[in-house]
Amino acid sequence: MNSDRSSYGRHLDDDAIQSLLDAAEGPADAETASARRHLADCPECQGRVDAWREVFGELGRLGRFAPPGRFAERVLSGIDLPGEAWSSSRAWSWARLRRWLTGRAADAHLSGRWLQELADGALPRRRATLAKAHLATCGDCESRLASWRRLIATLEALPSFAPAAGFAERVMARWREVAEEAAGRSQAARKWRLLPRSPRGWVLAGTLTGMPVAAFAAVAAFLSTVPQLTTGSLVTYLWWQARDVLSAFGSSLLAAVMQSGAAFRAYSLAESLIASPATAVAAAASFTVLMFSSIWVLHRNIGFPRFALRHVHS
Amino acid sequence: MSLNYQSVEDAELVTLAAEGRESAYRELLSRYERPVFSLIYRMVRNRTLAEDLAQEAFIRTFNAIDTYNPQYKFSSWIFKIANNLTIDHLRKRRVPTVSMHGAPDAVTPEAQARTSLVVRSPGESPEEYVQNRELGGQIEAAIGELREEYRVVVLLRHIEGHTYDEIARIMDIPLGTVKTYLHRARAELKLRLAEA
Repeated sequence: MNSDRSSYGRHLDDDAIQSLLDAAEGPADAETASARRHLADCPECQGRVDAWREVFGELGRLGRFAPPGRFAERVLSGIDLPGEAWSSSRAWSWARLRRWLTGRAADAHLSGRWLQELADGALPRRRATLAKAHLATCGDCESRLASWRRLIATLEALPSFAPAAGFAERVMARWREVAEEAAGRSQAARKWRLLPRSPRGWVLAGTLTGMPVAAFAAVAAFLSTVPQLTTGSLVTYLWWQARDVLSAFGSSLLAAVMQSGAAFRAYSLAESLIASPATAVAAAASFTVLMFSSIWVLHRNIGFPRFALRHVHS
Repeated sequence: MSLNYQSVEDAELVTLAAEGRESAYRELLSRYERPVFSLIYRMVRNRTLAEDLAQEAFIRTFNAIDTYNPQYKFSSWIFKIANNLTIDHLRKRRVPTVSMHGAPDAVTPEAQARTSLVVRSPGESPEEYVQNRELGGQIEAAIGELREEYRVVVLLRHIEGHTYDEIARIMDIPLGTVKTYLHRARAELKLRLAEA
């Protein structure tokens, strides 16, 4: 609905038409009167005005939605009515001051909120004192307090319900099942815990294991290009090297042990144990206890899931 | 040495349970099966479903017993688990509904009559009979019509006897919100009971 001309001497634009329709009910200003004069002689603009009038008519026919039932009561129950000005502390202070100045303090009633909290025993002490002072002189608030007390007493008298017979047994049985399933999952997870858990992990593990293989393959490929080198000569060379390294390591270790005096101390200990059977028995017992303790710790922490032992068989 | 679990405090029972004593679990279960079941039953208003949810609440509590913080009451903790489970269930189950009193855009009495639902009961099952007997009273019906949050605070306060602070912890909401919910819930109950 765009207009190629904006002058009222020629055609009306969309804004002018909408203004014209908005002003249809009211008195016409100079611009509207000019637009109306143009319309009287221009069937093209008249057609566009009719189209816009249809849009306006559709919008005017839109209905209203009704709020859900008891909407008004719910809103009113959430606010403090003018007669119940003692709700928030600020409102209460102003109301009290105003009523004290005008000598109408007895007119102020306690809010539903205060009365509820008083009936429920949850009103702070200072407010409770004020409220009780007011209640002593106000039968209206006293009867409202009584109705809140009745409601609370009704609620507190409601019975508790028992589940069907055997509920506890069913819970315990189901709990054991859940514990066993969890234990099974944890055992399975422990079995496969060394495997990577993400594609990135698999790439890393593949790289780490593939690198030595690739290095070995590269060395083998290089050696195969040297004609003087045979498999026999390579093995002999490696054997000599390994023997030299092991021999050097063994000599160093032996020298270190002899220099530290550990061998002498071990010999002295063995001699004293043989000399005293009681000491020997105590040592053997200590060794046995320590060994079994170690086995037990390994058994509890590695061999069987801790959760299953604690919760299923306890 | 046999221990009389009935005289043991909740916190100590939890410690014993965490050490793996099944009797401690059983004692906790016997202490809380009624309160937890009652709360859930009044929330979902279906016995079978309430038992399933209560069972799940106990299993979750027992499985997490190592994480219990003795700074708070055990009852607050188990009610928090039960409440979260129930609210989650109710939210998942929620489906678009049409008011029994007609479509929301029905303004005139004729439009409301045209769009309102007519429910015809094909007959009560034994379970429905028990439920209707248990929850069919005026006050129970009024509680059942409250919003879920309002219903929980009323039940925790007036049936389970929790303090406002405990309710705030159980529901994970500020203390002021607990007070507001309670005031509105009781005001609605009063209104509904007066109408009945």
